[in-house]
Amino acid sequence: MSGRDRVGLAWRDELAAQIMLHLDFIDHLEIIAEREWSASRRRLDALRDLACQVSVSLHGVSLGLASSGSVSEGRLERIARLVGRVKPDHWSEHLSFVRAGGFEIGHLAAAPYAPQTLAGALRNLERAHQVVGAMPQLENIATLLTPPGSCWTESEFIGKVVCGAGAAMLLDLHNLYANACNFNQDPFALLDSLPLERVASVHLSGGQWENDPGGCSRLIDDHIHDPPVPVYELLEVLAFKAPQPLTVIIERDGHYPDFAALLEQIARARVALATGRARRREIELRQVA
Amino acid sequence: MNTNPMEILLAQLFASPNEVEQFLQDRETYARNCGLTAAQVTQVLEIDAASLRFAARSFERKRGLHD
Repeated sequence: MSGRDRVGLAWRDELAAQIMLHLDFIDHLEIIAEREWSASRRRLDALRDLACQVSVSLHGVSLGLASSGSVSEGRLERIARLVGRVKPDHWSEHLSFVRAGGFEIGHLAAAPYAPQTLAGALRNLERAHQVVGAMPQLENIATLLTPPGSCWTESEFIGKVVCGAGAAMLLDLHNLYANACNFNQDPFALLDSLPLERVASVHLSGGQWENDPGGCSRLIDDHIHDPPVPVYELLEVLAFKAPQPLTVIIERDGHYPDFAALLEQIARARVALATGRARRREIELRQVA
Repeated sequence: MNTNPMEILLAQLFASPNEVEQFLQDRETYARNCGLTAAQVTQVLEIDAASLRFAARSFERKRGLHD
């Protein structure tokens, strides 16, 4: 593993005690921004102290930046205040929309991969940069439907937004894997189609196969299962192809296993990174020789 | 900036599986009532019904997890 790679966990209050006991094994913690919007001054001070001990990022889940509509100024200001108080290493959000026309989806959805969404996303990102003071890292989402009205693939859309905004990417490898499975694509080809040179952070999580009444199976990203083997394989390939430092975050939102199992997942991610890095060094050395 | 009517239609469908069933009964009328252009109406006729139902149910379940 490169000395600059980091592997850590998504902060959840249920895991707090164990996280604090095992900080020596955790390089990075990701905190959901919206859960801290009503945090007390004491809690915010504690998060600031935490950010002094270990690298921390704030992760937004409700801005809806990838939309033809305008991002809420109020939500941006709350993110800005939190960033100002906690002083994280960086902040991140999803390339998704979550509301439109007064309808709240309550989760992350894909708007059409089309010029109107691209223009809106770039405008929203510019505004986010202005208000928060930093551009967010942008995360790919899992989707069960290719948005109607799309004229680009998901990867083309991601590339246009990320490169157009000059943003870094938070690559969720389970979202990528789920989309590959659900749209009959090769996950490694899908990985190759993304702007890997812009990946700064990585999410690893798990999901579950579900059947619809018609007997069709789909992989649902649910964050309550362990990352499957292909996700670690994708991380190894990413570490081989992307030489820049990566911050890898294990996401778990429930059905928590023993903390030892989460530490094992961190260790497994370190191995995948190290294996990919070693392969790259080997090839570079051969080229020099 | 005006929000794309297609986005509004999708948000309406993803917010409620009941809306999905109404939409699937008569996609064209539903889409026109949402202000979609003729080209967009053609695009929503091609949505895979099973995937749409799956997506709406998945969103409903995820909303339940956060309540």
